[in-house]
Amino acid sequence: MTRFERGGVLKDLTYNGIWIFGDHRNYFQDRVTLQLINRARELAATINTYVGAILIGDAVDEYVLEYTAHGADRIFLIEHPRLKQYSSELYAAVLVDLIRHYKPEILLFSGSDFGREIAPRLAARLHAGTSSDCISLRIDEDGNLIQISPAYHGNALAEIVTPEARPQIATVRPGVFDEQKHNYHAQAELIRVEIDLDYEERVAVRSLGRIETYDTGLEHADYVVCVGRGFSTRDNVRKARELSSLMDAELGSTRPVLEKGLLADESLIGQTGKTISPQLLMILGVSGAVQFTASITGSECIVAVNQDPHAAIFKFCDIGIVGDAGSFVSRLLKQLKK
Amino acid sequence: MTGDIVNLTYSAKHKKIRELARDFAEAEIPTDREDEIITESLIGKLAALNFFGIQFPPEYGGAGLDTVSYAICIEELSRISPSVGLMVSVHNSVAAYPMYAFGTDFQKREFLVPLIAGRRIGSFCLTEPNAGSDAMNIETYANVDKAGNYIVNGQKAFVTNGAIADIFLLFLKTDPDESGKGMSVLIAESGIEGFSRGEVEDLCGMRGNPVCSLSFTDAVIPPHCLLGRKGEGFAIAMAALDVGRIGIAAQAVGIAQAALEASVKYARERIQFGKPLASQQMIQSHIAEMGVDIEAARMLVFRAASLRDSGMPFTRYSSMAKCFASRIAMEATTRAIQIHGAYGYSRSYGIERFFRDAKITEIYEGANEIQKIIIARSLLERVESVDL
Amino acid sequence: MKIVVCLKQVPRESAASGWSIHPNRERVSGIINPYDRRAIKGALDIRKGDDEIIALSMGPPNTRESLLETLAMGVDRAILLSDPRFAEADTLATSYALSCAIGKIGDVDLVLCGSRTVDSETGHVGPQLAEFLEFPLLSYVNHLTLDGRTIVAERVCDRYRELLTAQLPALATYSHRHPVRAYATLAGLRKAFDEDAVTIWDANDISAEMSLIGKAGSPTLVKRILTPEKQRTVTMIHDKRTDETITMLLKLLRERNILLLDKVRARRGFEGFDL
Repeated sequence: MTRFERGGVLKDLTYNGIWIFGDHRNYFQDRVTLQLINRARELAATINTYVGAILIGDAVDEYVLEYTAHGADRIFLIEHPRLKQYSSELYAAVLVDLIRHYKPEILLFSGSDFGREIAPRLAARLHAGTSSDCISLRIDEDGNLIQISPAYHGNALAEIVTPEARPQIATVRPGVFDEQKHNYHAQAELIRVEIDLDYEERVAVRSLGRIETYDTGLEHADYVVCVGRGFSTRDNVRKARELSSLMDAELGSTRPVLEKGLLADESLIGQTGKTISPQLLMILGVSGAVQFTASITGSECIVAVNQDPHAAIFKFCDIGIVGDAGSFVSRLLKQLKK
Repeated sequence: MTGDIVNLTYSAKHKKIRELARDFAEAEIPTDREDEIITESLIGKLAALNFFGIQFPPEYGGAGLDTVSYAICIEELSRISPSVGLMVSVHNSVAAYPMYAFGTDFQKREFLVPLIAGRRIGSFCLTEPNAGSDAMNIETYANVDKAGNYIVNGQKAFVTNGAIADIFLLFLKTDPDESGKGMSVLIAESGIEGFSRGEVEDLCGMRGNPVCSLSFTDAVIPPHCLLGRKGEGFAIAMAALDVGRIGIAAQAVGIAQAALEASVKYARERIQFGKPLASQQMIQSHIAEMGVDIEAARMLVFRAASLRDSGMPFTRYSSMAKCFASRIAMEATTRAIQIHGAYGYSRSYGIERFFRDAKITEIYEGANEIQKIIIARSLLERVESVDL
Repeated sequence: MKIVVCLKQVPRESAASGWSIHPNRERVSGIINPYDRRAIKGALDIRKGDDEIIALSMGPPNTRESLLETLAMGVDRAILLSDPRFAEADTLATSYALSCAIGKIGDVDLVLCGSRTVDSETGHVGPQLAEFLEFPLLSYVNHLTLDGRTIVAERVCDRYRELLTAQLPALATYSHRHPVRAYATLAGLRKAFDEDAVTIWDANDISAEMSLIGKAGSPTLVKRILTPEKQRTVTMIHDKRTDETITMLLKLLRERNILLLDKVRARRGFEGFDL
């Protein structure tokens, strides 16, 4: 077991810095790296440390400016032709070496598939702790990172902490934090790390291309209409489409609607879908499990319509309407079209 | 089932069986329609999981399970579709089981094994246009020709699985002058000459099961198709129905359970007078009565099945279970309509379907009136319970 | 070839009985994690000749039920890791224990599991188990093929379709995105429960180091469980199927500076006016 470093009895105080893994291939989709850099800045201020962005790849220096402009203090740049294709095996090996050398206190990853695979690998190798799909991060009075993520089929939230092991590793749900505006005057220290890639590569990864999707722009919409199981007939979805068109809103849905083939995968809001923060969100026939509601907490005003007055969604909205959503939408359409 | 401990809880095995049957029923049986549910594809899937041979030993390709497991399977299938539950119940208990209990090795190989494998569907042909509860007075008869073949003439009515079955347990008179003692059973196949099927019946409920009439006109059935001995027909019918009743009772429990679940959901959601129906005491009363009735019926089924599994006499108990469960299924499904109000009365809402499906459980496999005669006779002979 | 399928018994969703940091899994009816079911099916599909499939799970004694179900599905052997000393383990300590068990099974060629569980949904155990075993990791797999000692996985990771190739021994996790239906048979269940052949191993049987299992071996700690805070004060409207509901809604929105009606009319080319 010599491969594994054990966490010491006392927290190692020589660990310093909040690192964000630059998930650059998912960049345009999520911009999560920028969101995390911004949140990291806020956290770093409370523990008086720096924010570092880790860029691993080949010819990825264009992201250096982006990360700088969005708040990173230091950029660690590791480039090599062999790092062009994302590989959790290679990237994990690189990161372990970096971590052993620079000893960051906190390491944040996007909750992308890749992030959620590489984070636990690192945790295992370093005998550190990690949580997944965080929807909130804060520093507690002991200076520990509190990682908050949904638990129990999404009905509750768990506060997770690794009191001793370092680094503290978290993967974060895309969209829960805001990015900072692009600051043209920002400056950061660039550290080019030369690395001998003499790691064993046991898994060969061949890319077969990206799956083409159309972006519905749910994440950036001002108004969103979301349909759930209680509104999942063809007729109702048609009404919802008409409503969202009138309102200039984007149309989203929960999983049961997708499973009926009524809307495309891109419209999914929730833990395995999109996180949204519109000005106005109208939710029709959704019961409100936490894996959904955690993705809408950023909404300014939530209007929920559901037949069941005990539906959990009514604890999450600003305006709750108990009634038949279909009839409600018909009447709303009539009023709006007058 | 031995030892001093009285155990009215389902074992882990029974829980897993219920889970399997439920998951399968929920995933594979369509609920958007009543008719055309039983397809070749569904039959194939049921067969692959051994639903057509629940209790038969592995040597015959069966699952080798006990009666309690059989009842659980029928209940869970019926909770989603009573028509499917009926098909599986009749196939297992009154079609295949008599061949297992009374058949020759040849008959078991030739007929029972394919039935258990689900390659062929079985049915039970006793009822006739002029003989329902009065089973002893059936008119279908067979004469024997020089080669020993049976030449059969007659009609059978309301045959469950009739349109999709091709192995039929055919009850008829072989000595027409002696009533009762003159009844025998033949195993008939659909391919024989002189055999024809009527149109599928247009029934009030159970519409997913293709029930039809059968007609035999000088149909030739070879001698090796006689099940048991000549004249043993009535005893075989009674033995079959003893088991079949447990299946029907379980079916009724499944229907009632579905009605309860729908009612609970509706009561929570429907607002009247500014509050959900569920907060109204009279609705709560309905829900409570349904719950108690279903639990009691399920336990009567469990009791009858357990007695059979222990090798003890169980006729009285399977009658009681069938009689009680079918009655409470009618009551529960009636309450369900009441709770749903006008929506409950609408064909497009699906609630009245439970009600229409439940009614037949009071009629078939021995009308409840007959059950009461059986129960009374048993009690008058010996009032104590079988294990007291 | 020896294939080990790792699975977790999770509560049936409706059976959640209060939210505590370490729920009493003994009292709650359990089912096989649906994503692990996919791995069981995967193993059954891959199996050829006298390949052996071993189901492995760490959990309380009633996990036996799910392991018997795997035997009913066609798995050859089932092993339950059960020991009070495994309790309160986080994913790292769990993965360590599983790796010790796999070491004890010996000469394992392929380990399969679901990419995550439906209850904790961390997705950690697959990758961490691969690390402890020092096996190559093929994750989020949709389809696996074996050609001699070479394993090829088709998968989708963050919308990138990829082909992963590695040599056995290896560990693969099946994607949670497309759950699959895989049933035991009634005959299988009867045989499995009759034979009751689940092997039970405790911490000593797998020669686990005590400091790496259970609470001691868990770097993470759940500080507390919260029911999500009510950050919003809700205004409820009980709809009586009249236009009054709509008028009320539009008024409330206006109070929050959301001028819905105006926005709609502007889009339609009307001039806005007050309600």
